[in-house]
Amino acid sequence: MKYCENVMLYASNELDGAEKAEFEKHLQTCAACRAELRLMQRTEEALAAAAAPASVVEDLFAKTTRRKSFFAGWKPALAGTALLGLAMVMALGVLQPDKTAFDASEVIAYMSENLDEEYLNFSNDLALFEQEF
Amino acid sequence: MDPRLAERTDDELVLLFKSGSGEAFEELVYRYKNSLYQYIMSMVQDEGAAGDLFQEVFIALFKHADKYEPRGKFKSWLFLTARNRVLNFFRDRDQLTSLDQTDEEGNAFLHDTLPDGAPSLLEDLAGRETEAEIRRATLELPQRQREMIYLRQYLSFKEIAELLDRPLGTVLADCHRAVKKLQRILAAQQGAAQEVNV
Repeated sequence: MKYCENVMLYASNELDGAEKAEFEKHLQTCAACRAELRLMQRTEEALAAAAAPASVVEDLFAKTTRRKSFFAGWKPALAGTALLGLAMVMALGVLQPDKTAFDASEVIAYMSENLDEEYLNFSNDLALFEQEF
Repeated sequence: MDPRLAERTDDELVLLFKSGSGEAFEELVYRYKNSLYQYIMSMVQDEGAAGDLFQEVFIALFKHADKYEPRGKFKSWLFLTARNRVLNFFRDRDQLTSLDQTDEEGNAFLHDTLPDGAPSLLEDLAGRETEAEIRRATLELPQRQREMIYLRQYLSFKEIAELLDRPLGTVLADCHRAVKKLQRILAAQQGAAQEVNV
């Protein structure tokens, strides 16, 4: 049994120096151990790892290291919308500078002033109308 | 990918991955993809299931790398995870009828829960006639012995003993029996071939 175990360990290079030397000496005289060792070596060659399918590996990476976040696909659309909104705000600012230039009190004063003038003009016109008719 | 990653140990790559390196994770995948896939394939004999289980093992690493203790046993951890996934696969398929059976050390017989050998991807691999014969013969082995033959391809006997939680002597005896059985199967094949030729 000892030599049976040593065939296994020898084949996988797990014997230490002295054990290895002793087993190699035994190998010279034991056809059964030689046959077993040879079959183990041939089996290693025959079962050399077949390649894992590339699609399986790529799929794994897609689920882990190369996984895209939920919002990744929306990024261009979100960025475009934001740019469009900014452009609209800027366009409004350019097209209507006067309104944006006034604060509330100025607007009220401006409108009151205009109204007064209009009111005065209207009153003057009315007075003239009454004088004539 | 950084070519220097190939020079790193498994544990170093896991630590790099923990610190945020996706490339380190991918290097680990490239390093073990073939051996791990072949081991799983040899057990489940189904390409689709083997692909799914293969991914599950690495996704487990991706999600739970923080739980891995770097003690130089990454490969054993990987194959143990794969073996547990294979067990779950058969449990889910209600094929684990003999899970309760144990061997002389009280270990569950994964080998008895697996389907018998059938023509598979492994047989499609072109090679010398003798290699094809050997591959065919391994598929005729009982599951316990077949698993041993495949694990031996990637792990030392000491690592296999740890993985299966069996004494080293038991693992060596199992492998010895597997090789003897393989010899008998091959001899029977050659005998049958000679009879046909005569």
